[in-house]
Amino acid sequence: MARPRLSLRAKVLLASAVLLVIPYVGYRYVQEMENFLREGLESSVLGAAQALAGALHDRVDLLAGYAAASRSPAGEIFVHPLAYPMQVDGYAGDWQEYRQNLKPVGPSPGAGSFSARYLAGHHQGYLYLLLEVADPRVSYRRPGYPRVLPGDFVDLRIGERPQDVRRYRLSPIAPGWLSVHVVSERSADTPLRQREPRIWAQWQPREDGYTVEVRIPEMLVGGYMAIDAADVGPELGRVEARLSTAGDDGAGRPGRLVFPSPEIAGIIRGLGRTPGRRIHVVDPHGRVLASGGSLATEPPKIDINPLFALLLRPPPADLFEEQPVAGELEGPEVAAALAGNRTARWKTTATPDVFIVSAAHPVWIGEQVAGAVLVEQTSLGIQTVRRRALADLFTNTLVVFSVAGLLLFLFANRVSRRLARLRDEAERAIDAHGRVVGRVSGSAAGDEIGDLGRSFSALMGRLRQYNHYLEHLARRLSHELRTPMAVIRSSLDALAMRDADPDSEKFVTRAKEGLTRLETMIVRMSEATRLEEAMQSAERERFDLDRMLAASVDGYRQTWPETRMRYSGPGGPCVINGVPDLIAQMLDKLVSNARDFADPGSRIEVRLGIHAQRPVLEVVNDGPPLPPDMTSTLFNSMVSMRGDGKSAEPHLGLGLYIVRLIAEFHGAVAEAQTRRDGRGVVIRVSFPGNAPSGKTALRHARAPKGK
Amino acid sequence: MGRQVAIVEDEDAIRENYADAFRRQGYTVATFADRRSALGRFRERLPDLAILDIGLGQEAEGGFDLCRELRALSPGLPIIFLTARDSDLDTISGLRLGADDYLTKDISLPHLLARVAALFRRVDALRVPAQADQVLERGALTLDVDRLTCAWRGDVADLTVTEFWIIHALVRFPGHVKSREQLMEEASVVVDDSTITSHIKRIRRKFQALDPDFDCIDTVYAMGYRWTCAD
Repeated sequence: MARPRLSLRAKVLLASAVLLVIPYVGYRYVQEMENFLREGLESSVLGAAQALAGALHDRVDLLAGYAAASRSPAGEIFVHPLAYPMQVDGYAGDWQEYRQNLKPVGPSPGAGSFSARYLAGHHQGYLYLLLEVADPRVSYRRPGYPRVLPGDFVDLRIGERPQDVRRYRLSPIAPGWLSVHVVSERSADTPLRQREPRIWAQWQPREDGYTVEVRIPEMLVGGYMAIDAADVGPELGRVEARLSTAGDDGAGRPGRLVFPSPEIAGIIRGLGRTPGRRIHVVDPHGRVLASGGSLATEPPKIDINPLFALLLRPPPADLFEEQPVAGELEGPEVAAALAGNRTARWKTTATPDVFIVSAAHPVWIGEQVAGAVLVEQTSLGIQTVRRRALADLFTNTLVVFSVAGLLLFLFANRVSRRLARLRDEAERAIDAHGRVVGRVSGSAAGDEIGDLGRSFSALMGRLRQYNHYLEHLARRLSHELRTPMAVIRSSLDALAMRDADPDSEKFVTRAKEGLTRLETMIVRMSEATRLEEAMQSAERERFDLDRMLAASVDGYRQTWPETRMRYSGPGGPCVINGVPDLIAQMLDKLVSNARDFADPGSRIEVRLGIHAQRPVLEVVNDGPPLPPDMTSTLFNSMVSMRGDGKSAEPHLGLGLYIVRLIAEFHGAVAEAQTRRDGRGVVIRVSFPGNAPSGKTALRHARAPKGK
Repeated sequence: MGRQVAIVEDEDAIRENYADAFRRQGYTVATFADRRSALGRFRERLPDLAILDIGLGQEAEGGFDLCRELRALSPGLPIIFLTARDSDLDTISGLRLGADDYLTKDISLPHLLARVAALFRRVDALRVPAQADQVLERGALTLDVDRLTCAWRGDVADLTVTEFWIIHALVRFPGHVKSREQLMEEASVVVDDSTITSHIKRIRRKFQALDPDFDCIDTVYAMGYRWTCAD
């Protein structure tokens, strides 16, 4: 099975596929770089946490309160910093972001269906409270009765010190704005007379209870607060259940209000702002004491190859969405830091490919962990760098590939073409008969192909020389032999001229016969040479081939009456430009060749026809077919078909060689074929394109001249 | 006959064979192997006929030079060229060295002797006025068989002896076709067909040099040649 052909160009193309490794390697490198950058970011963030933790180290003044507070978490109310003022409308809609910080009032609900949750926040001088109470039966105070029938109410106990508090009562008559009454501590049930207009409150029922929103100016707020919620049964007007942040059903002392620390916030600010970085300082409970910075960053503008942009996902175009500031932070890194170990953690975000790294570092007061610093940063910057690196990689790869591809292609093309040209030249240089007819031009190139070309050229030269030597072997041989043969002949002649006895005469005669045969052979051998020399000086003329052939065939019939011959012509004059004597000589050879091989008694046909404007001469004989392997060498010098049998004349196989020489001299092509019926041979000489016949002066083979 | 024949041939065996044959015929023979010695002798004494080989030792065309020098010494001396190669015949003819004949070395001795005899006969014939019965006339062609001269419309055609005999064979019976073998026999040469062809070509050219319209030799393909101009 033949091997599949893969041209040089294809091979070079395949080999250059190895170039594809480059972008892959580049990509891997980019990934490595990304990892490196991530590590860098992590350590940078950790470093920032450490720096801030160092700034807060041993700052008892800032952190002690919280540490102390941690010892008595009961009753503590953490006041979250709010990003914006809440609308006091009794609906918890605007508290949505902070809802995760809702804390239960009192022990965990489960006992009965009465439960409450609260959330405290502050913003710009006001303390806001959200209270959500679950109460299946909401009852309102009915005023103006001889005895006030109380409804459900909420008490707020606020004071500078735990034991010195004022009690404010929020007791609605109907949903909507509430009047806040000051109630003395001792008599919780006295009628409400004294109002506190500076505190705003709204009461809205819900499906499962009611919501209360309160706004208290900070000047009224001390350091302690307790929130109580009371469920009053409508029939009896008695409090059926109480809940309190202070525990103990309202008798407990109010807990501390825990505010985030502005000082710490100031320290954070003093550390400077890094875009995309957010800092929290938390107390040992994870409650945020101060925050700074924002995770959002401006997306940097980078110009990216539009083609590349198609391939990649679009950059996180929208700014990273600010995550709400949680009141309390949880998370393994926070827990670890509060336990005394600094860690960093990578978190995924909603945006693909963007991560947040958060590092937490404990803050020490003495040997105790007084809090932790949490620093968060997005990996947006890395993404940007990575994107740009990949874009550059892509662009460079494209450029390199194009250039390399072009160069390789050009080179492969050139090599391929040079080799193809060499191949074609080499093929053309030798014709079907094995003669060297062309030249392989040696190239001056200094590489292996040039060497190959020069080798070919030298090879052809040597081959041509050898062919030349072979072809003229006959001539040289005949020339060399003449002189000794002249010696023999003259000696034999001299011998014959003496009166010799009959015995000697017999020997002399035999010797002379042998010599004559030898001479004939020599003559034949040099016939081709003389022909070549004659052709060099021959003059061409235009003559009618048809007439000449007809006349010649007539002549042959007369010379060899025992051979049947027939001529058929094209039916009109056929003029060619050539040497009539040579054509006659060629015809002699063709006919004598046909005669030698024709079956006895069979007919030899000489035909002249015009095919596609070319005169074609054919000599056809019956007889044995051509041996199949000889058809192209038949016309070579000294190639003979005659295998065995002695012929009267020495046969050198030159006849057809002479036919070929004469044909080529006329620009014609000689071929030999077995007849289609296999019972004979056709030798065909196809002349070049027909010259127009006509009235130009022709030299006829036989023109009667009257003189 | 007492005539002296000079043979200049570098191949010893051939030279001696020829010399023997000529001596047997009664000629005196002087033999030379190279040009220098031959010329030296010629300057002292001219032979009656000279047979020259072309390649003489080192000089491939020594024969040509010798012919020129000999001609310079004697315009009427019969000179015969001997050559191993028939290709030289064209060359010699072109050179117009004034040789009377050029033959190939494979000529048989009897033929060579006949040639020499004919040339001597011609020399004798030139000394006496032309004999009418030896003159053959065919139209514009005049052949003197003794003098071996040929004239076309009165202009002398410079034919060699071989060519003369070829023409003679053709015009003896004008219109008859003579085969190449027959022509060879008449001209006392044994050559192959193509040499006859080139002889005919040379003859044609020589006549055409005298008369551009000369067209009396007709090639009958596969058979031979014939003289077509009627009386």
